[in-house]
Amino acid sequence: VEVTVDGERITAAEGASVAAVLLAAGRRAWRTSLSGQPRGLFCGIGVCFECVATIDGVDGVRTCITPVADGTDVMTGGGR
Amino acid sequence: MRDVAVVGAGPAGLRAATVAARAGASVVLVDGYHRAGGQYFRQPASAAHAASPIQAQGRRLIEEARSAGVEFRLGTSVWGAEPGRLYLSTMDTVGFRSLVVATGAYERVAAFPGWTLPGVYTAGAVQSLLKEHGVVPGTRILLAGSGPLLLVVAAELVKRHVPVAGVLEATRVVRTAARHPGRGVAGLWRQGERAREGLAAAARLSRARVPLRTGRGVVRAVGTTTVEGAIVARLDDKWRPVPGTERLVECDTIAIHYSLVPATDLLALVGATLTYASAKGGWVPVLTERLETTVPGVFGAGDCTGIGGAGMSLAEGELAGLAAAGHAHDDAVPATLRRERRFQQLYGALFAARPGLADLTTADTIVCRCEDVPRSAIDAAVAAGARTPAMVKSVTRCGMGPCQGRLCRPVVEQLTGAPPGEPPTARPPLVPVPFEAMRAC
Repeated sequence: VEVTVDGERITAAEGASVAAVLLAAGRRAWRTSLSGQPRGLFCGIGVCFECVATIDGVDGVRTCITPVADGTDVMTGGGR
Repeated sequence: MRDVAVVGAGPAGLRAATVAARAGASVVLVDGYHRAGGQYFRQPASAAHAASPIQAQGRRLIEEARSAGVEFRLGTSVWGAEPGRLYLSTMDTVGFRSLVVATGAYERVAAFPGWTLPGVYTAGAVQSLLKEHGVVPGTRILLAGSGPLLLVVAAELVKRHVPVAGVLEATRVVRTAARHPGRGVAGLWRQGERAREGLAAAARLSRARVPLRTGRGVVRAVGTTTVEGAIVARLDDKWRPVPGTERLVECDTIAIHYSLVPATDLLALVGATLTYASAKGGWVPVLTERLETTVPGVFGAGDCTGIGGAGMSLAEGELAGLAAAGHAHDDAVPATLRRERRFQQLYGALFAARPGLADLTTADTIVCRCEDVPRSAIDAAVAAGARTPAMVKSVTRCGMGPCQGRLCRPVVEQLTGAPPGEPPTARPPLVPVPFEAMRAC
């Protein structure tokens, strides 16, 4: 499937989590914490909320438990 | 209205839902993930990754539940509850006569300098990337903490030819097992299949010349914007680092895992009484022989009632599912469950959290990742009289973020004084949900 990450088109496996797609694209951090530190995936099972991004316009979505579909739009760097 | 609602589609929940449906109950099974199976039976994201024997077993259990007539509500988080009703993130509710809570567990983590750097993951996160997506999150991975999952994940990495910098188990396993009353090593022997699994993993690591050390742990992640190495040290019997034993290990990824914590937030929300049992992973519900909580009609099964693994979860799921369906069974505890409980005692003796878990922090180490609260702020609150995690939270915001203290609580409990203290409380929403979800109910 084709997804968009920060405006860039990426080919991904259908059903892969957004976090897996970001990591496979070489990104480790895609958010900054309250004090400005880079953060990305940590717990991988939806507990810690460190990996959140804006997905299809919805803020604060956990990328580790959200699968991609064709046309999924991911915007990183947001707060939560 | 359903006869039985089951929350959590892992081993315990799948089994509970299936036996309840076969006993004639209408059953709904709710899980926040988009695929059933939970962590243990985590299913591959696509057919491109071959299913392991465990994943195949999970697929059979999922098919059994479906053919028994269980209604699956996947990708659906429970955020609130009242007697006889669950509030769902899909902006609706589901009514029930009986509820089986099978919400599983999550990993206990230690806070140490650098642990918030990108490239530090839980071992479970690394495992899920491998098992579900075939993604390897680094080129040289160090595993540290406590519990058999470290070996399992390391063996999985070696199988995929990923360099493993080492496996550090905080507990001196053999020495501790030998001291375990009566059972000890003999108890391990009787864990036929599990012991074989562990030995096979250890043998695979040894063939790949992966250093496997006990009584050691990671004390610092090195790097500025990503992990560039790790400082490791010897740990004493309480997991406190021994000064002067530090050395640098080359790696670009650190996977940590200090065993598991029961996920009790839904149990707390429905008002079930919790009690502290260090050997079971922390706070667990008080249960009757038929696994009913102190709230009539609410049952608990699997790791959320005390860490016991997949075998115990399946046995408890069966018991809770029958009881929730109102099916009479005799009061004798099944032999499988008795055996699993003996294993639980040994597992608890080996991998229960030690007080040194909190000694890896320095003054400026962030303890609460959600709100970036450093250890110094918590120390100041404790010095000013905060005696419980709840008091620390109200002064420092530690535990107030979206994870609701799930990650930091084990460390904060050590810093506020020895657990048990007060049981954790839970308030809706259990997970952040859009405002519309609340309005729709």
